[in-house]
Amino acid sequence: MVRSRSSILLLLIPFAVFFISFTMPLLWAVWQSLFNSKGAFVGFGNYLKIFKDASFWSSITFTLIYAAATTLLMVVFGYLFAIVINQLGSGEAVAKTVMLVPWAISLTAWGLMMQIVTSQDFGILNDLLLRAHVITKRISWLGVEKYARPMVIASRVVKEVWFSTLLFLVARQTLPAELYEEGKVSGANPWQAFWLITTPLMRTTMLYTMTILLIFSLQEFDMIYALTRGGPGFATETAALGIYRLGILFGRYEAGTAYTAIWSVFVSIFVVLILGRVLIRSLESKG
Amino acid sequence: MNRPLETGSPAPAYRRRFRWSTLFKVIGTLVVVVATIFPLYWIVNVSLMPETQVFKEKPRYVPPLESLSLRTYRTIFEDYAIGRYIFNSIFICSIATIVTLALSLSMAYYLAKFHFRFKRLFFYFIVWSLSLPWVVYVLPIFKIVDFLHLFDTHFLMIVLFGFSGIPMFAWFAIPYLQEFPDELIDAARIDGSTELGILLKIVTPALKNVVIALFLIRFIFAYNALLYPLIFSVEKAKMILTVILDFPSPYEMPFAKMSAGGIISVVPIILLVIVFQRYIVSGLTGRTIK
Repeated sequence: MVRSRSSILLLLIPFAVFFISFTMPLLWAVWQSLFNSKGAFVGFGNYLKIFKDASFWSSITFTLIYAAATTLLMVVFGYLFAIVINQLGSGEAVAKTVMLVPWAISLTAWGLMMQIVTSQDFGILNDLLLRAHVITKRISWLGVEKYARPMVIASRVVKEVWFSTLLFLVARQTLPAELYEEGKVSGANPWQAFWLITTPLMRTTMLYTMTILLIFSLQEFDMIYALTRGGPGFATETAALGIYRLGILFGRYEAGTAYTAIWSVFVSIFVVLILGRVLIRSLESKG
Repeated sequence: MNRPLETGSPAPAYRRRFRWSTLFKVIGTLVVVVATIFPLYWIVNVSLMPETQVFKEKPRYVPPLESLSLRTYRTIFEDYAIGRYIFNSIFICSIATIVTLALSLSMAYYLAKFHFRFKRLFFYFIVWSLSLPWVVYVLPIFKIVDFLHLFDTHFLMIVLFGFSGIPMFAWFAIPYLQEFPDELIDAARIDGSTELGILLKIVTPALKNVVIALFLIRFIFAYNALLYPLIFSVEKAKMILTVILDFPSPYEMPFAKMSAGGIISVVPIILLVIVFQRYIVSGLTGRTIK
């Protein structure tokens, strides 16, 4: 096949654009993290300083808890919801339409809304729980560490579980109906069909969905910024909020770049070890 | 799976079970509708009440009709240049989306249709950079932007949103291009088309629906993103989400105002979702089933 050598520009131009505008600044930030604010080389000095900072450890831990918890809950509930919704007959089309509504609301607006919903004195959540006699006095959901962390996780899950439900629902509908006919004929009850037909065939979808949700969760900034700004204290601060606080709000650029370097190396290792294989497989041609 | 066929299924029970299953379908659908729409209903509800009505120990689940008013919205439109901020959001996100799609489709086309050494390295690069959180680029870009005096410009926001999505949208697009029939491309090559010509005149028109779906998703992602507008814009290039974030302050929690702001910011996206629902679903789910 004849092809001109210049066609590789179709690949190289987009690549270079991203590399120059994003990857190179990141590498530069990693290099900068080795210097102090006066430009003197300090080696790992900035890192040692940040390691002594309790808020750094708190935000790393919380990001991991948050990412693991939200991803797991969204996958489990999303999957179950999808299986149930798939049985709703004509209601399934309605469900598919309305599921996009929570997805369309920005995490920022959602965070503001959750502030209103969870407000101690005027929120609907406390009111409903009081009416149901689950609690006896009003709870400050976002003011106390022990409630704020689960509440932040729940806020995200309540919104995004519909996104994973949609992914699972559409994937479930691509499974051939004959398999279920055959299952029914061989005497499988719905429960067996779920465990023996649906679940094994949905494994790939589940891995992809989990990977995507994990990547989005590790990003978390918007909703928590709008909801708690990382408070109370640093209880709900994620890595993204931590880098923003150190580098932009406090103007401690060196500490911020050290955090940036740690966080990007951490995510990179995580990607290579755990998510990489799923994602690479999703790129290689099947043909 | 290979058990013998069972015969003589119990027919009489069928009719009664049918009614139960209808009930289940109706209730199930209602539960999903309520769970997904309620948050939106709640923001609308709070936004339509005067601030004094919101601060009640017993929240009003159905707003008292006589107190409903659009006053909160009117004050917001009077106090803030909402029109301009929404225009900024839509303008920046549209241009940025065109940029992202042009670059990522071109990248995806080459990776899907050409064979060359080191292809795997590019795949690794895409996977690596689409997984890195946006926040890791913020500090160095902040320094560069400061140095270039690009702070708070539309140009900067377009560049940030336009370029940042390249890996992710190349990743989105690759399977569609891999499935694209080689024969059509080869025929065009024989006719003497350049590769760019093939991408623009053959592939893109044929994949029109995919391009529309990816356009909508990129647009909505950019419109709904907070981090970059929060850090890189102050007033001139301010986008709508950062405006509504200014509403709550350490001194007051204007719930009605926050809700009204949320509704204002969400309206353009809800409209897109209503009009282009089919495209958005196929774009979002395309990657999980491919």
